[in-house]
Amino acid sequence: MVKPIEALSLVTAFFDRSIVDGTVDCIGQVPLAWGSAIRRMQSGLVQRYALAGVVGVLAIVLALAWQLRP
Amino acid sequence: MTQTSLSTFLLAGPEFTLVAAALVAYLGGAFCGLRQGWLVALIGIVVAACWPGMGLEAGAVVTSGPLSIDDFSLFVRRFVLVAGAGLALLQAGDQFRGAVTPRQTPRGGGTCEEAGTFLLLLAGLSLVASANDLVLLFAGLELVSIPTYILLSLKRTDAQGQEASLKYFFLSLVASALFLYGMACLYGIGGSTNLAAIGSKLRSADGGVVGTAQILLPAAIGMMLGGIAFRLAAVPMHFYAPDVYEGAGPGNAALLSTLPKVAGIVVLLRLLALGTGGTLGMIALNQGVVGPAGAAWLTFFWQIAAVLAALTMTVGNCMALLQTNLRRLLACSSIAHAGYLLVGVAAAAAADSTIGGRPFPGADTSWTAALGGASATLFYLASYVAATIGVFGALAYLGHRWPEWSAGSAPRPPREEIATIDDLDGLSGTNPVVAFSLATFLLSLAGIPPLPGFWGKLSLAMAALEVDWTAKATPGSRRVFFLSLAVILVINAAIAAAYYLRLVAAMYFRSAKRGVQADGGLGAGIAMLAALVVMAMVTLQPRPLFSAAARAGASIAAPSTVAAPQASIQP
Amino acid sequence: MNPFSPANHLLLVILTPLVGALAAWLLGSRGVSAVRQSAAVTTLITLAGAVLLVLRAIPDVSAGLPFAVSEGQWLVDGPFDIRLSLGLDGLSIWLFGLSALLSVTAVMVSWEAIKEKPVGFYGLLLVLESAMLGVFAARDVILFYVFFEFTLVPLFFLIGIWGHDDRRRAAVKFFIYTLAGSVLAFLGLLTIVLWNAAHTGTLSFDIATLTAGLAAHPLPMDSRGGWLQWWVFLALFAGFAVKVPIVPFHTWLPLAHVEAPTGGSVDLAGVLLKIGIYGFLRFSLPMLPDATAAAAPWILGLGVIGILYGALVALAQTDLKRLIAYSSVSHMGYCVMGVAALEPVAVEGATLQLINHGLSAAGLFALVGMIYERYHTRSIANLGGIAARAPWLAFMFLLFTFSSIGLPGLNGFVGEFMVLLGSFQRAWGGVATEWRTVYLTMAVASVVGVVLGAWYMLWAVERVFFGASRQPPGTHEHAAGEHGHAAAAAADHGAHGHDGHGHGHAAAEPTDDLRWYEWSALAPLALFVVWIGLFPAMFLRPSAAAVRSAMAPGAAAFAERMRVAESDAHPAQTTLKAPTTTLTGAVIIPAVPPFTAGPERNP
Repeated sequence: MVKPIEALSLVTAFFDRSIVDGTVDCIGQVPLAWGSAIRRMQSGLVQRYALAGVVGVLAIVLALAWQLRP
Repeated sequence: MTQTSLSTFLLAGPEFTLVAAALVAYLGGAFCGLRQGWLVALIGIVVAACWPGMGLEAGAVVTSGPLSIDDFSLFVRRFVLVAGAGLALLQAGDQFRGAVTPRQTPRGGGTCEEAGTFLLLLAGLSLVASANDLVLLFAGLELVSIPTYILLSLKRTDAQGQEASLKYFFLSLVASALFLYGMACLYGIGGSTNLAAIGSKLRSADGGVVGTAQILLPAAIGMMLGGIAFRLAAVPMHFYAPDVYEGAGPGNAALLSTLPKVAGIVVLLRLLALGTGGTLGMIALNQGVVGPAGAAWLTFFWQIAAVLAALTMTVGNCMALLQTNLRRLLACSSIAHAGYLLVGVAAAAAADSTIGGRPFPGADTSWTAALGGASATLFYLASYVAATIGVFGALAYLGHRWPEWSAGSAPRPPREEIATIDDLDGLSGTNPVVAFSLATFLLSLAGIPPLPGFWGKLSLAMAALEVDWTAKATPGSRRVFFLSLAVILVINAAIAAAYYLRLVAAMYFRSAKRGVQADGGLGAGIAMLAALVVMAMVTLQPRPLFSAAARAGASIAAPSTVAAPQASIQP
Repeated sequence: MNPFSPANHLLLVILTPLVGALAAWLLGSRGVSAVRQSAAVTTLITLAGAVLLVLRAIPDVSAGLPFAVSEGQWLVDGPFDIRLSLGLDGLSIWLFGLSALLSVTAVMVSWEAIKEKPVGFYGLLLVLESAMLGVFAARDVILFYVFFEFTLVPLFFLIGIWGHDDRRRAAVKFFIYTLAGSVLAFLGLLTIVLWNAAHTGTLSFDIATLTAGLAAHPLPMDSRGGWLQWWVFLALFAGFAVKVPIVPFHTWLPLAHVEAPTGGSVDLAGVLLKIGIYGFLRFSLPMLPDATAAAAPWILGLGVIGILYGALVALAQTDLKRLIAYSSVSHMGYCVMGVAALEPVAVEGATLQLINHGLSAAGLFALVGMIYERYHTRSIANLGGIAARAPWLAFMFLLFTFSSIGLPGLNGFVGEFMVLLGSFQRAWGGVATEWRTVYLTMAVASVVGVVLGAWYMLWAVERVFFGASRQPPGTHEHAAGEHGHAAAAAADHGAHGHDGHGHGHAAAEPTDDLRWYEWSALAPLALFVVWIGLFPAMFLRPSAAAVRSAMAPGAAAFAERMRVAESDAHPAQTTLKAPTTTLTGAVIIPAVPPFTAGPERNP
């Protein structure tokens, strides 16, 4: 009676440490992952920045004009 | 006409005072050997603040020519002067020409040019808030941009600094060009450069959005918002921020992260007022007061603002999590704060001024349940600017540190600026006052109660939750859109807490390896302490700032009391 | 201004720790001694004030009225109306007193432990005390939230600066995890405020007004209203569940507890964990009755899972402090169970159990801290036979162990028993037939949890306190003689009466035993442990009215859902008379009815 419960408790403790806590840490990693992806767009080149800006603005204008189409 | 011109000039009194002070600084520095440029700047600001007519009864609007002074302009003016004083102190304390300083620090001459340029910047910002005309608006904006370029180039003479100022210059040109193009489209729709006239034309009930207006309206909004996004450091024009802040010194980084944002928000709210006019947001549509063009204007406004807000917050916070360089981290955080501000603007554009179909007893119809989007944005802006001036003031005050060096044969390497998070290690032991102030500012930026940043986020969240309050929450509806925006806002606040805590942890949980010099000027220290006092005051008694912001925001929706000149061109 | 008016009394009690923090700062230059003495004086004054306030409050509160309500204007501008409104009622009165009491314990337990930067430490403890007192006294939603969030800040610094090895990670994880939950709860609270404003026409942040308003105009539960009540319930649940903590949102707790300095652990385990359940009782249950009733079976399940999960993981621990941390997770499961059972007995028991757990967990963490101070290890493998050297310490540990296990005669028994009784009542008579097996299983499982709780605690006690001495010598070299005294009388649950003659020294006096400051930390807790155990009605009666009114809408909604008539659902009497009768009688007699056929009607 005692041994199975002790085994169960060891399994549960392991589960707690690895899976439950691991899930929490994984959720915490998500913003970091997004951050790295976003950071890769920071190239340091002015031309790229200007291009990205203008393309973004054009996309906005097109998205709005699309809504006004007859 | 003389009377009108004179009264116009008088209305712009504070701005003229600032320009006059700038002239004194320039001429004094060039010809009279004046060295205390920043002192002149402070005196000029104080004199401008004492200008009569800075007070106005609530709700009154005084218009003369291209200028229109209402509660909103007064709020911005006072705010600009106070922030300008803080920034002047900060700049005075930011004394070093480069990130790495040789042994003998060349103390700047040239503070007079910087001070004068800074005063011009403040004048431009005040003008933007008072402008009732497109041309004056643009002139004011340029009067903000051009001094910024000059200040960026003057202050830092090392390669990194010059690179930063050039980047800012080029991208700012692109943004200004976009904005100007958008303004031209707006002129095309409105038929006049007078903002009141454009507004009443937009809101007029006759005619739909037909013909060229179908392309002019989106182009106008899209490009103007794109141009403003640069100033706010919002997506899609946010890329410059980390690089430029890193290259600029703490004084200029403080400048960049506060005053252009104020300019951007002011312009955004003024443009919003074109659509809202008499009453706030869509309720005007329901009452048939706003015509289809105005409705389209407001719709586009909140759509763009909401999407950009969500993107900007996330981009800023996620990027900031990875940064180790202090100024890059603060740049990314300022991107995120631009996102929060945009939430307020979006809520203002979409807001319903009644709840349950009835306005609140005792409330203006232009008020919403709590503060309303525009007022919440202004309150948040005020608390953000105070905290930012404090943070950069602290960094400027901390100045440099000596790098690792063992007393040997090689001469001592030059001082290095406090650049990375590790440089803050153990600050609580070496400079406890600075560490405490920095912790307060960072926690306020994170939105931890009871600091002002929390009240700002509270107002913004309430403004977002109130949109279309009585509507059914079907997927795809405005209500759900703004509900998700509110959720994104708070989750971003939690994410942001991670990197702000990292800074606080570095200061308090680690021990110092190398002490900081605290060799920044006294001015920066005073600016930091002043910001701390402001934080404390707003924490203990937020009501004055709330009321001021509420009045200012209400006037975004206040009707103009002066008849607009007739439109001359039909789109 | 009458300083002794109830409202001002309350305000003074809340502000005293802040003044004390300032005093500690000013005295900082005089050395550790001055600082800690001033902190001790401050907490004692606050405690005295709190005790007086509680005594004054009991008459009103027992009648269900709020006490000491004050409304200062804070942020009033046009329709925007946030007030500094404070007051106590049945839900908060004992928690308020507990916060004051545990702050004394926290200060005394850190007397010798904190040598560096004492100003910061004691200052933060005092600020934390103010924040905790404020949480329970707040009658305004925003004020509640401000204090709720603000408790994170001092604790962040306490853990991060004065904690143990992994303190930085623990502090950050604690802060961010709890913050993430509470910002979602924040949105839920704002939605409640706006809903109330829309339907009653006035924007109010006052909790009493909101409760009444939401009772009159409940949030919609159907698709026509967008399931708004569900969303708000989930948002509030996110915030409170992380704080309780409800498994699986508990992983911040072991880390934070273990790495925190002892004073921090005392406050964290004793008070801060209670805020989650308190919030549930204050907001979710009265304002969102339908959603709570619908979710009640699941929350009950989560509570039971928490009990068993926490107990199982505790069983596997080798670090004494971690073991007690997981036992906290397990015991909070009882509170969750009690609240979710929606029976008056159970909810009252859960409310009492909050206090009980606060006392026993604080005591246990304090004792672990004392052990660590002496032997510099928390590992069970490296500890042993402490009772020989520190018999009073062993006695205290055993006392708090028995309290947390639920030995009749001590406080833990009353709370646990009421929770279990209520759950069985609910299972037996208060649910629809299709749910009955599930509920019965859950109730039985929770009883298994009691057994498991006894198992790991007593195993730990046996290893650490009795048997051969394994740890390096503590403060002095001399081993002590036998430990036999009153503790042996209660040690019939498994502790073996080992004596110290494995050491074979002459009977020198125990030198590792409790010092005066440790006595002052533990004695009040022990006093209440016994007092509540012997005279629980004194503590149950004041909060009964408030608890009833808080859970009434939820219970009614639940009964409706289960299509069981209200009168049938609550057969047994719900007030527990003071068991001054024999302890065995208290155990056996009430335990019989649930196991006999059907609901009974007791007089």
